[in-house]
Amino acid sequence: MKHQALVDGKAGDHELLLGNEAAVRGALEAGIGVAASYPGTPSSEIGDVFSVVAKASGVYFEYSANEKVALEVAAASAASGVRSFTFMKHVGLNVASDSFMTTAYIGTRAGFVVLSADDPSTHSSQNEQDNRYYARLANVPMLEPSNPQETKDYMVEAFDISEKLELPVLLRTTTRVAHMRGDVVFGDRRPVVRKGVFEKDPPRFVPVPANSSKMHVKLLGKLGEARHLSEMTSLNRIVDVGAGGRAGIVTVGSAFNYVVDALEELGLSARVFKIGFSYPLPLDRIREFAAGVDELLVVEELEPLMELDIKADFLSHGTRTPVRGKEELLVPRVHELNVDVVAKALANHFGVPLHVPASGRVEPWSSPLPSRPPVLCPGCPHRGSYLAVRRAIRELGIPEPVFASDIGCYTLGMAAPFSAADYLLSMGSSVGTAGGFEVATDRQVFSFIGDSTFFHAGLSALASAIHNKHRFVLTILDNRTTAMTGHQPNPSMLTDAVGDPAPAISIEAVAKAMGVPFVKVINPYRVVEATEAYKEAAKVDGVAVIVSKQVCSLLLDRAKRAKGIWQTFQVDRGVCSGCLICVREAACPAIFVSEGKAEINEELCDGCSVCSQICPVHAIGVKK
Amino acid sequence: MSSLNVFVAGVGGQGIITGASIIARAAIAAGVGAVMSEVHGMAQRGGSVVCDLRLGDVHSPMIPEGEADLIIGFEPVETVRSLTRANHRTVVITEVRPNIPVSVSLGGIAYPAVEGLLAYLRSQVAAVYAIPAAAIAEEIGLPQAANVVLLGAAMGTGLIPLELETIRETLSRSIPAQALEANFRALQEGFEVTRKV
Repeated sequence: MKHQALVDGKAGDHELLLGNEAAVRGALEAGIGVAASYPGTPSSEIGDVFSVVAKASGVYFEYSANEKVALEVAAASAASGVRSFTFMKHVGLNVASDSFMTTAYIGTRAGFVVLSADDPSTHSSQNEQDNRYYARLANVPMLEPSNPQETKDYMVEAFDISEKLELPVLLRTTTRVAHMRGDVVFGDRRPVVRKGVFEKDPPRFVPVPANSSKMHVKLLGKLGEARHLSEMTSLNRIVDVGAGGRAGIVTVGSAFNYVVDALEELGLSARVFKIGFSYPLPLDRIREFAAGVDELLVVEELEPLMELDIKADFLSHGTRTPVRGKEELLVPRVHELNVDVVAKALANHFGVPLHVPASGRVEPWSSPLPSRPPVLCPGCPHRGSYLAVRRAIRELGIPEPVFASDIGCYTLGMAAPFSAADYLLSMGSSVGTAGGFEVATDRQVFSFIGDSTFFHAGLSALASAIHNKHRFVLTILDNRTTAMTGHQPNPSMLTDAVGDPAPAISIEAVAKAMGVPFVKVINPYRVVEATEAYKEAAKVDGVAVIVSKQVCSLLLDRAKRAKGIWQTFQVDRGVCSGCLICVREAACPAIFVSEGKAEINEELCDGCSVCSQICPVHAIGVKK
Repeated sequence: MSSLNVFVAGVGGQGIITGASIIARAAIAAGVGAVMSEVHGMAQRGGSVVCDLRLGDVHSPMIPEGEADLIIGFEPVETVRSLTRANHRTVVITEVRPNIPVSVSLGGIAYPAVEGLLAYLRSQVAAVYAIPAAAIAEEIGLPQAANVVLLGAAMGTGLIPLELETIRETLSRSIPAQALEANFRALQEGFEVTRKV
């Protein structure tokens, strides 16, 4: 079994682990019984690993329909005395936040840890919000590891703290911690407790107004205890770099890595207060630390949260040590940090020159290089859907419509030639925003949502659209998986998170049952039929739902290769007229232009046949 | 800071992370510190993918600008793109076969001549090993082992402080038995290319 070591590893064993893999080992060492999630980069590999190891390690694991449901499953399980873990990407916590806020009020019995994987620099997200605000908003303790080893260790700490305070604990990572791979030394695994007892206690667990006002008072008391733990813990520690001395830096998470490397690169010495338990901050210890240094530089990614807390604390205590950071723009407030950015901040702060490589920098390539943004894969079924929509619009002479898009691989339809993503907010927003565009403009609206995203947040939006008599064409791109995050299952599939058989919910049946007046299932690989379906749908006075059903080509290719069924297409150069309709309309990575005519890269071609169907002179056929 | 910085660049799906992980795993097995930074998610859909690998005593998993000791490029344009991490002492290994991005087919910027790309690389860094890794892997009969050919070439430079045998052991722990012999051949062929040069 893949990841066997995470299950069987003994204390003292070493493994090279991704931060996300280390989080799973940490959860297993903490003896969790239940884990639940909805996939989202940069947290997705945590679920991928649980899918493989959950059964073997005696843990219950599920992919819930969305992050809110996942958090609720874990919260109730923890309230029943079973250590429980939920994890999500930063914007996933927005979805879960309604219940998350209340879990702080009602607390927990067994350890309850919520991992938020933030994405500074928006490597794979719609924003780079700083979820450290959530610890402050909800009044819950927060830990922030710097590397895979700490990710594992802090998981165990987080469960202990949670149980001690009877509060959820937020464990916040970022892309560069979640997707950092490094050596991890294991600890012992605590036995799994899979079943507990839910002891009823309505004044504690039912936040009706009479109870909730009291809960808030109790919560602030617990936060005081958390502050005490933060003052005592070794997760907050002082690291002397070089000779230490009277230069002080406070830093946290991945910024700590950059600070240490940048100091060494610049040949500087400093006393570094490494924060691991980052909310509440150990302000007494920071004040004490500041007394021994001339100035304090705060290096943290995104918002100046520690910086402002420290400044406010120093002000109220009359601490005179100057605190520098983002307010004077020494450290940027946008995007992730790295050694180069931190070295620049340190060089400015300390008034020393920047380090230049001994042999000098290279000259950049003189002209622009062709860009290589992510694209729809060869054979991607979304290509056929978008192509058919564009053809239907053209054939019906519909004035350029508004395309409401959603979160998934299909957002890549934003690029030419499809240009089919005009507006995007969040998971499920294609359905709600389609209604808004329809109400506020005279343009026709086409919206696109994936199968997993539909179950995540599209269902209630669709009910709303039907009831409010909106008129738009909704395509549910049913590629039988949650593709973008790495092919996790969703409620329309026949297997669950751990590979057991599960009831599959039919999307078309759901749409019909909700009263959608026009529901049609298409195969996006059949260009003419798909185009005709869109032409019909565009005339419907109401919500028209097209379920575009075709398994993700990455999965299909794997299956075809395993069965030895493989065909590719080729261009007959004698027949090809050089019109390049295939290139312009399909924009497939496997098709390129050679001496004015189309050519197919056999290595990339997946045999979907869409290009062969749109060739006006029938120059594309199966390669013999 | 005694470290070796290896920057790996290419196109999603080329086995970049797998290749770099093998070096990292072998390093850990040999008692050499290793950290990596990887790209996961949407960028993998045919987009540019990079992986930073640092051996030795460092904290940051990302290589600072201009600090790569060795660059392994899986695609010529991607190799050139990664040169912001290079300095004049950097050693570059690059696949020679282009992977034409869709932006080029759709009439964007033309794909530069590979000879021109190689000439530019040679004018900037200490050594450039241009290797037909994909062709070598195809000849072996395992096209997906181009990354292992490049891995062998990286070992052939002598820059990576590990024994070839350690890499072979690591491969044998992570690759199915039936594909092992072909992978060993890919490793050896790559190794011979740079060792001969």
